[in-house]
Amino acid sequence: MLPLAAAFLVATSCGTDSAKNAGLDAGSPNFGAGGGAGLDAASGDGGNTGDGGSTATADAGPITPGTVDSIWKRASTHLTGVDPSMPTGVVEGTVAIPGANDSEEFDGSSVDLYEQLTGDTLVTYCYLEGDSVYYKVTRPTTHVDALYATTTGDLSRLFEIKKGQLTETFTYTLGTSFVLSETTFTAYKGTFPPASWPQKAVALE
Amino acid sequence: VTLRSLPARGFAAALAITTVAGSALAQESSFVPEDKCGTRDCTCDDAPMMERFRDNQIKAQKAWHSVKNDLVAGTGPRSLADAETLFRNRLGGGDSVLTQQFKSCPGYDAAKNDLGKIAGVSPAGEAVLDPCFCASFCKDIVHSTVVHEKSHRDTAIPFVAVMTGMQIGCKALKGLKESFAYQCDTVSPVIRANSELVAYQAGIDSLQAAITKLEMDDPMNPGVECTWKPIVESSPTTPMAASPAPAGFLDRVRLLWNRLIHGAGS
Repeated sequence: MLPLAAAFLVATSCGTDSAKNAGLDAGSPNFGAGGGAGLDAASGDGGNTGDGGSTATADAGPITPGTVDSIWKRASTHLTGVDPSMPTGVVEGTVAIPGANDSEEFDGSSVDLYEQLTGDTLVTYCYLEGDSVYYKVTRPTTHVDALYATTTGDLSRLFEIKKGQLTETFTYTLGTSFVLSETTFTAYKGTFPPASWPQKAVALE
Repeated sequence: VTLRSLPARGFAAALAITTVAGSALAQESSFVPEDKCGTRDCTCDDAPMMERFRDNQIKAQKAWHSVKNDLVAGTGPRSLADAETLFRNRLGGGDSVLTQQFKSCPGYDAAKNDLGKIAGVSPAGEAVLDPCFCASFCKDIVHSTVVHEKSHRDTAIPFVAVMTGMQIGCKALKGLKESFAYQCDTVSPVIRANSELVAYQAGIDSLQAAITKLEMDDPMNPGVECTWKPIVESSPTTPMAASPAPAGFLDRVRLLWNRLIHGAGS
């Protein structure tokens, strides 16, 4: 885990404990009184840690290990929301990422995405349902050993590969509160592009 | 090129001249790719219009910048529709000269040709344009619009990828949705604002480069700089300093004579 992210996670853990110890959890819809309700995961297949915390998990299925230059698919994301102005402070949960998702940015079209770290670039492969092409978007990265960094807008994204498992971490800050996102990827082992995609690629840089 | 009807692609219509069509791109099967646009080359005569178009894009970019600032500050619009409305309000009125230019295209039809929907991206990944826009503006302006459209997709795709977990979490995790409603509501507006800022910058840079190139070389007169601005700027006149009077009588007479003939500057 990255130093920054590690420090952040320690801080949030402390916040959760503080909330529990102070008995603040009972008054929050997000924190189960006496250990338990946690977040409602709409997927329904998640559990929660109870213990006054607020963790919901969703089963992302088995994670296939890979190497850094594998083609990766998002499998699950763990989200930790922190609002300093809230007595309870921290909300967290994990969601499984479906194969393709509808995107408001593309007027509700289904978007299928894969990512790959090759040398000093991050490649995002994207297929928009109904198109006759798929897109290949390339962004520069900087890396030290197994740690890769890139930016998307104002977001600083950090990728790390450990024991064949790729994770991405970034913090989404708006106003006074923020959400820490930690995504776990699973390696794609089939031929690329997938059979359901068109063969023609449009490169964007 | 056979174009299928264009699926609505959100930001695809976001390039604005007078008003930005933040809503989905209409199903415009008449749109054509850039190489079928038939646009004429820009000349010196087009330079003022190019500058005007560029300035309009800068204005639009500033409007999106203010929307993004609100989002970051925690006071931004809570939906994509609200973000677009706020942007249009901040942009204010359009440039009537540009509007008139657009309306000058042969066969202009207000029901079909909308300055807020001049371009989009086809299912084949090509930027496509309203032929009326192609006919009414010169090539560098049209090309800057293509650059803008392509940049949108280039920017939005990584953003959509990175925000996938957040968007799903906001729908699936009740606690996140309730306690971090602002963060959840503003995911799409944030993606759009970032995408617009980058796209406008790309279009502005493209057009500025074309204007600079035109300044260096008039296509109609190779090797000659293109000028459309006043060459000589008026400078404030400085009062003339009185020269000391000559010492000799004849010199004084000569000076007086010269002033009579040539004026006081002699």
